[in-house]
Amino acid sequence: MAQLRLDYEKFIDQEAIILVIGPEDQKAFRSYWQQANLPFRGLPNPDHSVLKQFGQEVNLFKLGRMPAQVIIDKQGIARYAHYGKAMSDIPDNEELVAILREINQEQELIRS
Amino acid sequence: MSNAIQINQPAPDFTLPDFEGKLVHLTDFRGKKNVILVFNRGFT
Repeated sequence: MAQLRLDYEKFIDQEAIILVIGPEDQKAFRSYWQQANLPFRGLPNPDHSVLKQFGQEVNLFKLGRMPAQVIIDKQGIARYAHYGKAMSDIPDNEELVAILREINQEQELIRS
Repeated sequence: MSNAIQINQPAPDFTLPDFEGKLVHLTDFRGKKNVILVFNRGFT
């Protein structure tokens, strides 16, 4: 999340909103957000329902949930998904921004 | 990765309260914003 925050403005420029979903409860989310002063929406999902729905992987050997990122366009279509194979397996911000730019350009073409 | 979502297919809809209790529906952003969902690996 610290990585995403560095380029937050670039994501905003690409008309994107960032929703962070995690297994912690409301209290843990709130205190983390207050400490880290994050600009994203934080969605606690302690019953894991949405985490499962989107197929976030749990690696029992590595003792935790693997990170995942999904980009959904304005029509509600999933356009990109990255399922991390390790805790540090997170796509670069540049890669995510480039995908958003492509999606937006495509939308422009459809509109014009 | 049995439940991995399908690319270029509609994303599964969901509704969750944010940590302030405000309900967020994925469909709230339809026609307005691209959405980046970040599945957290934990606050560590």
